[in-house]
Amino acid sequence: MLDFLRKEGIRSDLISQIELFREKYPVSPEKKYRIPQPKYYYYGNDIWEEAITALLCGENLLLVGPKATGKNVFAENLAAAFGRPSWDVSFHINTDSSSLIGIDTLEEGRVLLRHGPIYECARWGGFGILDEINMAKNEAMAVLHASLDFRRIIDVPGYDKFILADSTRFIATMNYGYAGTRELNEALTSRFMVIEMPVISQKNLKRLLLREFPTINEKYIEQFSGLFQDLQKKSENSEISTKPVDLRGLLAAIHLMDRGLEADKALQMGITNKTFDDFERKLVEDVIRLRIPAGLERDAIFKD
Amino acid sequence: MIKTELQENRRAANIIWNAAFDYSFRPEVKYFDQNGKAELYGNYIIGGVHYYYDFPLLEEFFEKLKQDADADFLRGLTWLGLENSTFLKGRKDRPVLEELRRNFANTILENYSVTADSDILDDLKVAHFQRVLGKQPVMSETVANVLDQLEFDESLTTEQIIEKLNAVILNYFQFQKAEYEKNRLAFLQKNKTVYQWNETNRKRFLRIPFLRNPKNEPLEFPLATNSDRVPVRKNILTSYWRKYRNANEINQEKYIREYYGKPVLSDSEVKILEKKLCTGAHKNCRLHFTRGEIDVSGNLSEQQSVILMQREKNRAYFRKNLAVNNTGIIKLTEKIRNSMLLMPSSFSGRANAGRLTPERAWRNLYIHDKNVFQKKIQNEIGDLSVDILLDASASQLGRQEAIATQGFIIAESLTRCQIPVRVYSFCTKRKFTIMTLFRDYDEIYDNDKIFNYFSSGCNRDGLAIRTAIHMMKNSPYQHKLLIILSDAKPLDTNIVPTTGKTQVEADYTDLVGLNDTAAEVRKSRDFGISIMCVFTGMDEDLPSAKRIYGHNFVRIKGLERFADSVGILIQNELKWL
Repeated sequence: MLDFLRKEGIRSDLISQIELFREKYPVSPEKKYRIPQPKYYYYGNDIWEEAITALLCGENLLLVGPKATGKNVFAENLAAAFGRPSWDVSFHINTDSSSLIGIDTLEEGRVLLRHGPIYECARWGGFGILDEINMAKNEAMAVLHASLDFRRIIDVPGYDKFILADSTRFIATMNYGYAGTRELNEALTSRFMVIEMPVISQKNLKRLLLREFPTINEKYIEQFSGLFQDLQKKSENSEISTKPVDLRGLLAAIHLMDRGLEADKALQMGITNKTFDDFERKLVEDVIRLRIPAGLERDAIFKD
Repeated sequence: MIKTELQENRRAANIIWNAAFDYSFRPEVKYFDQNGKAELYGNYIIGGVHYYYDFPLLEEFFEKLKQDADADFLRGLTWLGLENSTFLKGRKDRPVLEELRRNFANTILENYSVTADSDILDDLKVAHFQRVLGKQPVMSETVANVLDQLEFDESLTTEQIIEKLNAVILNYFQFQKAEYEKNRLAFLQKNKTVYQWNETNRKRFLRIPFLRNPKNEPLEFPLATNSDRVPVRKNILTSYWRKYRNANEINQEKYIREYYGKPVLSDSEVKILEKKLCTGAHKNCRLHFTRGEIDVSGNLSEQQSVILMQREKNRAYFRKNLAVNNTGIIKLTEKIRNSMLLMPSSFSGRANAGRLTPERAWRNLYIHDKNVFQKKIQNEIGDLSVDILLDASASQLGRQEAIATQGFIIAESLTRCQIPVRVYSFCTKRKFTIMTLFRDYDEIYDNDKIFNYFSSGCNRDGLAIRTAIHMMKNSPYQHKLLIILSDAKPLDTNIVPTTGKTQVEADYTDLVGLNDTAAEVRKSRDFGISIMCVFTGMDEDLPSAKRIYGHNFVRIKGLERFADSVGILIQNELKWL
């Protein structure tokens, strides 16, 4: 991971500080399996440097951005870069303190606290990735306040108070303004450094495609990334929903093409059919037709 | 049929925007094939011209072409040339264009054949697209020359293209000024200032006479109707003006009360509200809260009988489409109920983790039953209230019955799901923004009163939304949803005196109104109120609706789809409470 950062040209002093961080906080072998092995890399040096600096200073991060901006990829990349075990917590409407910190349970006739992911993460000094944090009710997250601010404690009623391991960091992600998302309250927001995640740029998207598909034709990298930008633009202008603006879908579709499926069909499965509205599908098809010729076969797309 | 046409229109626009990388303009020209379907390549070229060239400059050129008797021909010529250059530019970005262009050329050639009576534009088109397909067209020397000059290459700038076009027109086609155009040109030059026919002016021209329809103005208050003509001069006239103003104010109040129904709040209560709400862009505006009740026993004024007639019309309209409407109500009720069911219901029961139930603890020790805990999940749906705000301005005149029906369907469906609903309408007449309450939260049997809806006057959407939010803020429910049925066209051209001495038009048109309304909608978030709009207006106002409500609006194209569209919107809201 650090090699990747060096190659990207991230400031070397930051990288050496990460190395110091890793040395200072070794990971116990039993939790090593929790250190993520990223499948995708996040591209964007500014964002990398902002985030690394904040984490080195002991801050927690809140990554805000629309769909397909790589929030989760980035969160995972950060945990990998710092070499920390990570705990993923997906927030939902019924998330409450017990599902975060822990809940009473019985073990051999004794009431015990069954630890929640936040508790575990704090104990092992890991990175807690709080996915879609604004899906949960604000009240439910009040329990996190003391862990997220300077106090760095978790105090469980009926049990004891304990202090977060030094290397513990929380990285929250949120998608603002979607149906179902709510405003994050100020008390919680103030406990994070907030990074506004930019929509993936065409240049970075091309690099991502090239990394994922090393044998893909230059010409089609251009067209696939252009296609994604076209869709994004259309969705930004509310002509289509965000459903077909699906980076995962695009990557999966190209994988299918690699296996020999016709481009049309692959894109239909990966992108067009993500929307269930007939008319919207037509609009998406038009965008695709202006990029990808009908009946395009694997040989034309890939070099090998 | 109309639906497909609308859809194809929007499709064409979407292709153009996509090619132009710009969604901020409304495409003037679109390209459809013989079956009326949006044609991919043709529309791409239109969008591409927007992207690669300075379109305003070209527009100016087209405007100039209009002075020719055969403007269509010259425009056709221009597009033919632009097709060539835009394609050459675009093919680097989109290799797929080569193939699309070949298909396009084939279709064109199938439909055209050079005959003795075909005009030169057809000849040019056929020759051009034959060349596209790599064929050697048979054509006269003149046609070949024109075509050579028209097929612009990609290196030319917009100015150079226009220059070349001018040269082609000058050399080969005589510019013939149309008779009408000659006259118009002379007129334009004479009346330069009067005749600036731009977008905003046109709107005002169309709207103002319609809104200021003298028939709607009462004749019994001559002072009020003369207000425009009151001279604005300092000192000498001040005392007269003040006196006049007070009289005018009282008259206005009386008029509003008679027209819209007696107030339901005391004067002092209204004053307090006005002080709080009528600020900023709405300074000096007044509020009037009413139930819209008309005393039928007494003598009815002309307006009152018009209102009563409209109410009858509303009811008749609902009855006429009774089957569709009832299906709509049932469908919407089902949808809302369904999403309520999907919500985690209140659950309390034994679980293997949670709050320990001491009296059951022994079970764990002796019979190894782990379920000695209690777990409770709250269901909070009971806490939702919905307010429905109907836009009752004159711009809705043509669709009053439909709006009343739509309001009724939503209210009735929510009532059937036991969600408290409050329904009111708003419009602005003179200084007054009138809020007519049809049904309050607890009046579950009064949905029928929604048919009392009628429209008149202007609309200060911003003030109405602000007032609605204020009223909702104080309601006891935890989750609040405001549904607005509106055409997203805030407009108030009424004159509001700012001080005793001068009067200034509190302009609430176009952008001012839009921005103010959008700001009010954003503000609602701070109070935890969600706003959604059921858009009832025309295509051209869609961008405004987008601007005000963001993603939170649905467009209603026909009653058949009404329940579905509104259902989805409400479902989305409910899902996340």
